[in-house]
Amino acid sequence: MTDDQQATEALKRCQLGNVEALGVLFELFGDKVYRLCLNVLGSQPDAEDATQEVFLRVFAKAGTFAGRSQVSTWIHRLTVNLCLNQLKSRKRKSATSLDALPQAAPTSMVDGSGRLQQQETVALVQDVLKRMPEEARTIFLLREVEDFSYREISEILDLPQGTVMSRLSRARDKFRQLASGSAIDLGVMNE
Amino acid sequence: MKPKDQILNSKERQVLHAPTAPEGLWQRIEEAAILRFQFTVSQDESGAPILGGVSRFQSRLRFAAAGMLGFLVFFGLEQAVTRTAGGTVKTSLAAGGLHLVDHLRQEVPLVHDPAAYVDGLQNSTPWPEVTLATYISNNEAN
Repeated sequence: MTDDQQATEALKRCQLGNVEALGVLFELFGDKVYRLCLNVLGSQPDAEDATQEVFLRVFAKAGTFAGRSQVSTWIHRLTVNLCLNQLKSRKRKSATSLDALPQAAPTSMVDGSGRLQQQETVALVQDVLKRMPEEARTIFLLREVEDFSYREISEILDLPQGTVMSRLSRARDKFRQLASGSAIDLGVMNE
Repeated sequence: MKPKDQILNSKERQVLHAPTAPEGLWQRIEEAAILRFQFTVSQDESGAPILGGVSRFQSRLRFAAAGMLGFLVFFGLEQAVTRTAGGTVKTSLAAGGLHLVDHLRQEVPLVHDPAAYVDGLQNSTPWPEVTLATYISNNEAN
């Protein structure tokens, strides 16, 4: 059984109020949803709250899933909408903070001399992402980090594929532009 | 290996890809989901009390009654104000209402300007010649 079939089954059981089925969905998509929330919102507590809210919405709205897209795409659409709404409401209160971006590095990368370089990379990527406009940051993360296809991104953001491609292109230009102005050169600039 | 169009190198992607959902987050979600589900079920049961022990039907009934009461108070106040203002009916709603009542009670002429009609009544102006009956008979004749 593929992940999507498993997710569809779990979603059906969620409609009946089966919390264990929600657990299956969390096992399948919990990390991705949390990571996207963290990268977009930039704060660990906010990301945890947002992840919780996303899964509660999945549980409550399971019956509204029409099956036109994959469950994964549907859940990510809920996630992106929630995060962007939170950023909008937060904007009124204070400036966006991405202080808590990537909390932990993979163990394999944190050893010896690589540690400093790792920290520098983390700081630089955080800084560049922080300065990107929210929507550009989101579309950039969906493609560059989460590996979604153009079609999936167009479904998640409810945009035509052409618009996704043009916005992604602008987001990459923005990333390059911001990265080139940074003290440390990103790997991206060397390619 | 990254797709051709991606610009982040593997190290950068790995950095952004590193975070995982913290331990304990699922337990939080599970508890919240159970609570929310129980709340939804209790709301859906017929006659089940929601906030303040008022059922959904009762709250709708109250809303409708309040709306009706509000309208009656508004209309009554308007009548009181217009009738106490030196006996002169000034507002269009009151004048229109009076005209309608008179029109229903007796055969009075159709007028296009209710306020002018009421002024006419107060000045003891004789009825205009065209009445509802003549108006209808004229139309039928046409």
